[in-house]
Amino acid sequence: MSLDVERLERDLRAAASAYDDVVVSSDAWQQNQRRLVTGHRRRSPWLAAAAAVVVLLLVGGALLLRGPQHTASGPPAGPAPRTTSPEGSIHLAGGVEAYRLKLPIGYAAVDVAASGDSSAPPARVCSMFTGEGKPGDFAAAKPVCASPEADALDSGVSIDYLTTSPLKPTANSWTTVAGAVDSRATSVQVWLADGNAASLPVTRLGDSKLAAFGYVNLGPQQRVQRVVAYGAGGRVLQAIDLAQRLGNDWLPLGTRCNELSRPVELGVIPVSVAAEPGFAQVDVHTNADSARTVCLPLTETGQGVKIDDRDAVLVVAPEVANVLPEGAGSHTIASQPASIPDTIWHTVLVHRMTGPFDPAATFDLTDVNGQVLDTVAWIALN
Amino acid sequence: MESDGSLDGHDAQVGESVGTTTRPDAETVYGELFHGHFAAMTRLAAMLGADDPEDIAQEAFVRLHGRHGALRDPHAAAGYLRTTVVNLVRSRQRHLTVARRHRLERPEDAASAEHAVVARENNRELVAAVQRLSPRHREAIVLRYWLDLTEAEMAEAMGISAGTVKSLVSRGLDALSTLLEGSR
Repeated sequence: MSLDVERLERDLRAAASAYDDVVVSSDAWQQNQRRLVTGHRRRSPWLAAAAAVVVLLLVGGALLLRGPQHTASGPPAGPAPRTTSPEGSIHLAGGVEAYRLKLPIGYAAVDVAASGDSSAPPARVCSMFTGEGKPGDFAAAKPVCASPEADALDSGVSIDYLTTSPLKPTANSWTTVAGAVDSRATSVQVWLADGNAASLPVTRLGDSKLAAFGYVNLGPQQRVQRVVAYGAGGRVLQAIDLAQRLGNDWLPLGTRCNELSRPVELGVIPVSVAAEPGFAQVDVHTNADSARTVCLPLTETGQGVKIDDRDAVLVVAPEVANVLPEGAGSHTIASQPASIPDTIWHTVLVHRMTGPFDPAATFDLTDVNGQVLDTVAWIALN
Repeated sequence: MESDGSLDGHDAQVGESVGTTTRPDAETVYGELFHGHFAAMTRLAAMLGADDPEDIAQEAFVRLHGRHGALRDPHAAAGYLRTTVVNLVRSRQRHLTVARRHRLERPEDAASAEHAVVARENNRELVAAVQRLSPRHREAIVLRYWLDLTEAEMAEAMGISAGTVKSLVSRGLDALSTLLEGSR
C-alpha cells in the first residue's frame, strides 16, 4: 500500500530543514579568491604573449594511410599517457616561442603546444598540421589555438582544450582535431562520420596536468564527428559531438532524414533504423507496402521512440554500452547497442515483457562501468 | 521570496544601497553576495545530491564574477547563482556520478559525509531516500518541494516540458514511497 501522497509531500517540505546546518569551509572566501586569480590567468589574452615557457609536443595523429580502426562501444585500448621532453624550438603562433617534441608518426602529424607557466593551466593550446613528405598544401598549415573550454574547471569536463582546423573547399582536404585533456584521461577516441573510430594516445604536456591528443583525416565522410575522453577502466569522462557544436560548417547534421544511411533491421520486430549525423529515422513496417515513420532529432547522447505499448527503440551515442529502463525492474530487457551502418550511432531495442510501459518511462544510458551518462525520455510514434 | 534566490529565508539581503548615496563597486557587491549566499548555494547543491556541494558553489561564484550585468542587480545575481548551481550539479551527475544502480546497492556509500552530518534525526530517512532517487527524480523532487519552484520554473531549469515535469514529480513521489516502504 502506497504512503499517503499528501503526507509525503508535507514530510518532504519539512525535510528541507535537514539542510539548515550545512557547514562550509571557514576559508571559503580565500578559496574563492584563489579560484578567481587562477581563472583570470587561464583566460587572460595577455598571458600567451608574456609566457616565458611554452611546451610543444609533436603528437601522433592518426595516420592517413593506416586508416581508422572500427571499434565497439567499449573503451579504446590505448596506451597509458607518456611524458616527453623538449627538443628544438619553433615559432608556433603569434610570436610564441615553443619547444618541439618529435614522435614517430608517419607522414602526417599534429603539433600541439600549450602556453603558460607550470603553476597554472595554459592560457591556450595550439595545434598545427604538419606534413612529413606527403604531397599536399602543407605549407599553408597555420596554428589553430583554443582558450580553455568555458566549463574546463568542472569535474564533468575532461577535454579542457579543443581545436579544429579551418575547413578547405576541396573534397579531399585534410582536417585536424586536437586538444588537451585533464589528468584523469588515459585515452581519447574519435568517431568519424562514416562510423569508423580511432583510438588516440594522450601525451603529457610537460609539467602541466594536461595531456595532448591529435588526429588528422581526409574529406567530409571521414571527418571527426565525436570526441570521447576515457579514464581509467574505460570510464567515459566526456563526449563532444562536433556536428552539434560546430554545425553545418564542420559536418552537416543532415536534412531531417533526407540523407540517411543504410538502415539496420532490428529483426525481432519489423522495425528498421537509419541515421545521418543529426537525425535518425525509425520505420515500423505495418505490412509489405506501408510503414509508420518518425524522424528523431538526435541529442548529444541519445533519443528514444515508443513503438507500441511494450517496445521502444533508442538511438544512442557510440560510447553508450547499456540502456537501463528506469523503474521497470526485471520486466524489461534491452538489447546490446547495434551499429547503424555508416554512422556513429547505435540502436537499442527495449522490450517490456509484462504489461505496458509507463508513458513517462525514462532510460538511463550507461558506459561499460555502469556510469549513467544521460537519462532520456522517448517520443511517441505517430 | 523567490526572486532573491534565497532558500527559505536563510540568506542575508545583500548588495542593497538603501540609505547610501554611492553605489558599491563590483568587487564589493561580489564580496557581499559571496558572504550572503555562499552557504545557501552550498546547501542547494547538497540538496541536489552533489558529491562536493561546496565545490559546486565555488564554481558558481567564479562564473558570477565575470557577469557584470548580474553583479549590478543583486536579485538577478542570486537567480543566476541558483540556476548555475542546478546546471553544474546536473552536469556532474550526468558525466561523473556512479551509476544509480550501484548506489541503490550501497546507499551508505553514496550518502556524503556532509549529508550525514546535517541530516536531522527525524528527517534522516526521508532525506536519505531522496538522495537514493535517480538523478532526474531527485532533481524534480528537490526543485518542487525544497525550493518550491513552479512547474514552469522547473521545466526551464531542467530543460524539459511542463508535462514531463509533472510526470517526473509524480514518478519521483512513487519511487520515494517505494523506497520508504522498503526501509520500514
